Amino acid sequence: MKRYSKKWMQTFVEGKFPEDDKIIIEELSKKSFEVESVEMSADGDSLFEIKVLPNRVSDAMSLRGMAREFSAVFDLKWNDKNIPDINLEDFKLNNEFYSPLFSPLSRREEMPIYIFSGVKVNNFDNSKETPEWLKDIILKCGGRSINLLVDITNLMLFSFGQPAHVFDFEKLNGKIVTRFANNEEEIELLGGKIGDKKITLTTDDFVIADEKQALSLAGIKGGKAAEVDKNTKNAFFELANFNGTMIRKTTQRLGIRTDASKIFENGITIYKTENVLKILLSTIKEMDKNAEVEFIVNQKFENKSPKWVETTLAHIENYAGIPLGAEKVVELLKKQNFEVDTDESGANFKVKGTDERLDINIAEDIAEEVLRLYGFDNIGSKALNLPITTSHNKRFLLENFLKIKLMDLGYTEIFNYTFVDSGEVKLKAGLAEDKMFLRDNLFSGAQKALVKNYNYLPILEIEVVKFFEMGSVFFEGREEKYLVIVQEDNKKKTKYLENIKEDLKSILLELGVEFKVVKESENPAILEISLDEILKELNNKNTQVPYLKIEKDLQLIKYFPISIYPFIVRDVAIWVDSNFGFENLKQDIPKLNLQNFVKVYMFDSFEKEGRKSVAFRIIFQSPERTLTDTEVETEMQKINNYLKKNNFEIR
Amino acid sequence: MQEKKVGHLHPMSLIINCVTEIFQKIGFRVVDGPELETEWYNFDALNVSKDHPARDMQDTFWIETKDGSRKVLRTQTSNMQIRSMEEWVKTDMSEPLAIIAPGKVYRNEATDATHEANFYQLEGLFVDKKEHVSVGNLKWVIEKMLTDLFNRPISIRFRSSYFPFVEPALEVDMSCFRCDGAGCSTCKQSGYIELGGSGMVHPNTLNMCGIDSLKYSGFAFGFGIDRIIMMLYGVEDIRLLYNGDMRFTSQF
Repeated sequence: MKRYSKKWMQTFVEGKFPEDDKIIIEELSKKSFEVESVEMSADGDSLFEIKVLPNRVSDAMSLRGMAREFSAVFDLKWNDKNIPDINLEDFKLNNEFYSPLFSPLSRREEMPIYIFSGVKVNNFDNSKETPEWLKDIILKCGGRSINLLVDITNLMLFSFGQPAHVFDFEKLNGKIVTRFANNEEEIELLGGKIGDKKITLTTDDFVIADEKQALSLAGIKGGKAAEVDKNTKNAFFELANFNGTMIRKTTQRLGIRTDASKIFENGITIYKTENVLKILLSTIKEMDKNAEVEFIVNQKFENKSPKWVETTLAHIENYAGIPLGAEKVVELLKKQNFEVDTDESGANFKVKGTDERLDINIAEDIAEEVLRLYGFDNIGSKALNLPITTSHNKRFLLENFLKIKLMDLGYTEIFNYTFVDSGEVKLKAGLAEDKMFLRDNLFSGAQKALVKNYNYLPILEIEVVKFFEMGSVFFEGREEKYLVIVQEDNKKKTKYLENIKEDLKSILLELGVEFKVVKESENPAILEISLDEILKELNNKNTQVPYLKIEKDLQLIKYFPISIYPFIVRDVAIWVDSNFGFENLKQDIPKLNLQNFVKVYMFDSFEKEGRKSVAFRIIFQSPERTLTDTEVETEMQKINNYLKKNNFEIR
Repeated sequence: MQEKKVGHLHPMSLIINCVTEIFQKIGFRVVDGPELETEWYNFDALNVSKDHPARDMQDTFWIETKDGSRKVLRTQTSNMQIRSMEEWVKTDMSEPLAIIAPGKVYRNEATDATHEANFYQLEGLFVDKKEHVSVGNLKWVIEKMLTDLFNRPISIRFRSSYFPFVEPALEVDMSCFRCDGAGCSTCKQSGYIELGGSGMVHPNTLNMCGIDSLKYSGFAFGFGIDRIIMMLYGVEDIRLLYNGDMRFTSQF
């Protein structure tokens, strides 16, 4: 169930919900749940799509439960006439009709079921049309009307949050049983829109059965056997409450998720099941006054009573950081129909949540309930007054220090991927076959990055690739931080490895330590070291690492999306006066209304026989497609025209 | 060729450096810890129940170990809450515990332009005697960080939420740094940007670290840094942060 009808929620509350749905969305989102959208139905009803959090499924995943949340948030009077004044003792109790089978008996310890309730009804006229109001509820909650008996079970689910199922009594073979499935037992499930489906069960799945066969997959989906139809007269309704972990395992294995399974996975209280049993009894009578309830089943496997939580005004006010007063606290709790006992001092409370809530167990839960309804917006910010500190973790300081020093020496930082195709540490399940291991070096990633970045030299405006990476590497039972540094061009003329070592040596000299090589190569020039080794030395010498701040205004950085299409480079050389500055061209060229222009920069200049030559590079690239030479020539023509007009001599 | 003299740091490093500067001024220090973590630090001590869906294969990278011990790539930097609280209880606890933990985390999910299997989080934690810790303090710390980071006044709003290791649990939305709440494309016209989770440290978590939850309480927050970078600079694909492309980092 994802959508909640405003019209039907309104029937549970005496006061009026706000007309403006925007107010509902805003307030509910802050105080209760995220409202993802609101949709207008044909009859003018508002259908809210609300993301109920796991800890609130027990009470809020139904029209009635959500209506109660609305009434608390909008301070409206809750109208709880929906639990009929019925005494279950007035009905014939026949628990002999139900048999919990735990085989072997030890499996009872797993607590697969907390309560099993049922209603045997005779002489029900299921050929009757479902009333329009009930059809409307089912449709708006995302279900579909099947027949009157089935629609009654959907009413229990959607309006009251209790999954229910109904069987044709005449199609049953003996008693109703709940049990773990037999290995490879088969069951045909009712498919609804996707059609019926036969599935094979394991001994971890739990079923509702008769003495011959499995009838439904407990807490998840009904089965084909003993299905009710228009001719059904005598029926057996089942309401139960199952173990959430067990249900979750089955839904995961089978990939079947339903509103019912979502409710059980998160859990509901057994009181809810008992309340809905009363609602069911009165609904049956309401739908067909000639129907007769022959007996009911009500078997509990756990006996808990609603919990009283003790807390104090001081505790709640501590959390808020502001005084609230006892009166306000009690008012906010009572808005949600919580019971509150205040002692004589007025500062100590005993609080009991409504009997459908599973999430009210400790004093902090009470604080949360008070604060959210009080409104987190009403809690102002309150400064902490701590003295300045620089006692950061040393490894962090070392990394920070090295990064900034390497940047100053012209190296650019990159990140490569952690997941690789080989290593010492393997994942149990990974993203892909070639990403099943955690990297045990940064060297290979650097090699690949080097090859890749060679292609971008013109666009990066560099001739020599200089980069580094710092990252965790993983070994059997051990994790280390490595640093890899690369400096290379694709001409292989310079001994760049020496340069790298000189650079690193000079940086570490400031800290009074040296490095040991983990791995190095001359061609291409790559150096890999362990930061943990350096850290050991720093610790031995008891050397502190200073915290360095990067002097860069983060707001001034402009990022341009990277095109995946190839770029085209055009170089132009011109003769200029000896006092020529490139800045004018750099400003003018981008203004020439050039298509797919990326950048222009000067890459060479020399003087010869009293004349000066300047060479500059223009880069074209489209964000959407591969450019053709012809297209670029058209743009270059604009540049040539500009150069001629300004009396530059093209070399 | 004009050789560029200064290189560029990854935007992640820039943000972490900036945030560190902001936090050290208000007395928070940086802590650091492992990315490959035990089940205890990643789940148990954080009050995540044994059968919580977050522990499933499809969300968590579990590691094959020879001795059968249960290890994961941390799914959140919150492991550092536990590790720093464990250190703190070894002291006399007279000074409050105030830390931030920026770092890499991992989730076993399919990658696309907005999802990566590894990304960075910024964790924050403050623990002190109960009477010195409130939701108001949490609000102040987050607003202070954002205002200094974006260099303009930023306000936040809390939304009630659920995370096992905090109670109350709060989602944090920040007023949009682009339009100051008026509505623009960055905040999808809502005026607010979802930032991440926060809340008051759950008493179970304090107790599991050996801190008496009747006397002490704390607040914690955890935000994704990748998303901040993507919004701030209009980065179109999160995978650009992790593919070793200098065309990306050279712009920062």
